[in-house]
Amino acid sequence: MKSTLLILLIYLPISMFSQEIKSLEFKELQKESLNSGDSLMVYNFWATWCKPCIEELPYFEKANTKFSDQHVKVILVNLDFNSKVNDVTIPFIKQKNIMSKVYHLTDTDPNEWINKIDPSWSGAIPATVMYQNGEKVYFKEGQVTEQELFQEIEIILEQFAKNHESKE
Amino acid sequence: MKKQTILLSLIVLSTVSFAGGYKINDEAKDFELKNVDGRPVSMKDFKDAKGFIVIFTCNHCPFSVAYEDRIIALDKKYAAIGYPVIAINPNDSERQPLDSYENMIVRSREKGFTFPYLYDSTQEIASAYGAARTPHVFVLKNEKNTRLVKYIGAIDNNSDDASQASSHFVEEAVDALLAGKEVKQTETKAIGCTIKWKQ
Repeated sequence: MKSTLLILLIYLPISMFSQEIKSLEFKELQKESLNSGDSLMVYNFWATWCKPCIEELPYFEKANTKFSDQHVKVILVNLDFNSKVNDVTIPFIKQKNIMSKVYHLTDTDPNEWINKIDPSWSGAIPATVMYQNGEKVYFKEGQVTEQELFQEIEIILEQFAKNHESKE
Repeated sequence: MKKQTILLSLIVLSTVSFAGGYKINDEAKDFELKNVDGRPVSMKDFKDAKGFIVIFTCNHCPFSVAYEDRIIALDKKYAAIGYPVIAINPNDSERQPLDSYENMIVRSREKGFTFPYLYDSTQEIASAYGAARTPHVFVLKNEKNTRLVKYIGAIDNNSDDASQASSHFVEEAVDALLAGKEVKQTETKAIGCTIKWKQ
């Protein structure tokens, strides 16, 4: 009994802090993005080899905590090669202590889904897209600054609040 | 009257220059860029070419690296029959030292590149063509005194694993042009590294 408790005491905290990556196909991501109700879904496309992506990750991490009580969900969508996830992506997430949700897209043919995110997107990363109430509300190809990111989220949240006020 | 004409022309010219790169059937400009052997290279130097496979690529980007063997294979297949590969490094080496001219020389030698690997030091060509990521391909077909853009996009549909690629976009485009046909899939997209523009 004692040893079981001890094992639980050791493993529970580890499992709480260990970040898991959810592997999924684009069509699942798309379904989620369009069916999350009032929540503002913030998807950031990045990869461990992408320097500008790594530079802006802290802003998304901050946004994740800052707006957590306002129905904002930050999801970091990783695009490392499938063969690199275990050896590179997961250790990276652990080392950087990433707290936001991390997805890994398993699709190998990006030509099929890049335009579905936004037809203006060239495919270069980083890129950020946001959805609310089944609609895309923001897309940017390229880096964002912390200020840009926070401001954009705040504007969308304000707009949403206004729209819902006027309905009463 | 003259002042207004000048002003109008300036406005028109400025909108044209911000067009954001070539579209299909646009005329692609020639260039004179330094190759890894120190000599300048232009498309007009290739007297027997029917067209070109222009690829914006670099040393450091994992996607460029993943495609190196495939780029070499493209040159091997098409240079002798009229469509040589010309690789151009569009990146600012101050922002990305791994993409310096010196490193280009090393990489070309290491991999045994059979094609020109040119340094776009002012980024003028990358900007004119509308290169948005590495690698980024522009297949050009020679027409009278110019060359037209016939395909823009990815090399195939699987960066990670060449053996799993089910669509070989560039090959299909060049094969069509060689057969005197129109390219079916003229534009594709892929994930890639951003171009490191000068700041």
